[in-house]
Amino acid sequence: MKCSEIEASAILWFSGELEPARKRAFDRHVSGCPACARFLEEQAALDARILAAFGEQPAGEEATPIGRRVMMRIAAERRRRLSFALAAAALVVLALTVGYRNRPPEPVARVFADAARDHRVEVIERKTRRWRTESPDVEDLAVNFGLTGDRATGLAPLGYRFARARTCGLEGRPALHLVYTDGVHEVSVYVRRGGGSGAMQTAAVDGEQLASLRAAGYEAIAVSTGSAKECAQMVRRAASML
Amino acid sequence: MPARQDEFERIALPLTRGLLGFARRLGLPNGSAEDLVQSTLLQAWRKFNQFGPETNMRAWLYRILIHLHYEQARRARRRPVTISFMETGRQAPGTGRDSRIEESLEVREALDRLPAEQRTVILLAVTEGFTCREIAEILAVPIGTVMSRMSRGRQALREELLAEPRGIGQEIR
Repeated sequence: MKCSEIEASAILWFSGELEPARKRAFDRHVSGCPACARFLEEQAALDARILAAFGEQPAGEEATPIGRRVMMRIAAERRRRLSFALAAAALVVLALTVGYRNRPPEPVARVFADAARDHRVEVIERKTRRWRTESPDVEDLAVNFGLTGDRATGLAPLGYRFARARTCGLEGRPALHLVYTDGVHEVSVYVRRGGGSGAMQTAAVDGEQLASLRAAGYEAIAVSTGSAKECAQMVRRAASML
Repeated sequence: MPARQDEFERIALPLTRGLLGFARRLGLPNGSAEDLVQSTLLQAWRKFNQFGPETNMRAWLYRILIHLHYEQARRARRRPVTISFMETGRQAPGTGRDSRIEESLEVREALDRLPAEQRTVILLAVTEGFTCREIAEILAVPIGTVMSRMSRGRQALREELLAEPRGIGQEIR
């Protein structure tokens, strides 16, 4: 090892980070080189002067209050975070509750929307339409749906009688629109082909009650301005007669 | 959470005294040094989730402290190292100092004249006992940078302190 290398490696020698082989070479050189030995002595003396000037540690009691203050701040921060988390959780619960109460209404099935609109326009508002009222004409319409005229007119709810019929479209599919009356009120029953069976579906659209029920390869949809219960009874009776 | 708090208290708080000493050696007045140490420990707590079993807590705390110190100095737009005789309680030069105090002040003045980067590595090595590798970790610089700063700083100190003694009463920056 050369003198220039001693100067370069002295820092690692002092910090004890020289690799063993280099440390042995370092020590060997210094032991035979008065100049390098003097250099190291000066460095050591310099460190001693720095330590003497700067090395004093604060007394333990000077540090203790700092640690105490830090732990108090940490505890306060934890309490604050906990309060914040609880407040945030409460807000979430509140938002969910309010949101649930003010949730938008369930979307109405398109078949109900179409039936409600058709009933309003053709029965309540009595827009001009070509209705069939006579038995042969009704028969002609009914056969298109695999029904006889009597079966179609016989779907009347209790206390009601057949008034008129025509073909209309629900969800883009043809349906037989049958109107029944008790002399004062008029209700609609729509019949269309539709396989399978299932639970009764109900809806309310613009004050009109609607109910649908599948049976015997048909779907019956009743529309009335009466109560939901009456509407359900209407569709149940119509489906049972299909 | 309380377990982590206990762990932090057990590992970090015993290092408060050393941190306070180092903060003062950086030239901060007592109050500022205590504030810096307190900020260091609080920041360490907030980042304690990053602390793993392989982390050197002491080096980690020094790293935070130095980073905060430089940040504060940057914000104050002044050199990070200042010595205030009024605040540190030390006697000003030429006011009846004994030879030990004179010697101490001479060394402090010489160190104070060094660039902050050189003085920091020298203090970390000599008074705090960190190895070059640890200093590199604390300052987030390559070990070669640490060695070159240390070498230049030591050389400047040798020239300063091994020359004729400085006159008593010279103004300290």
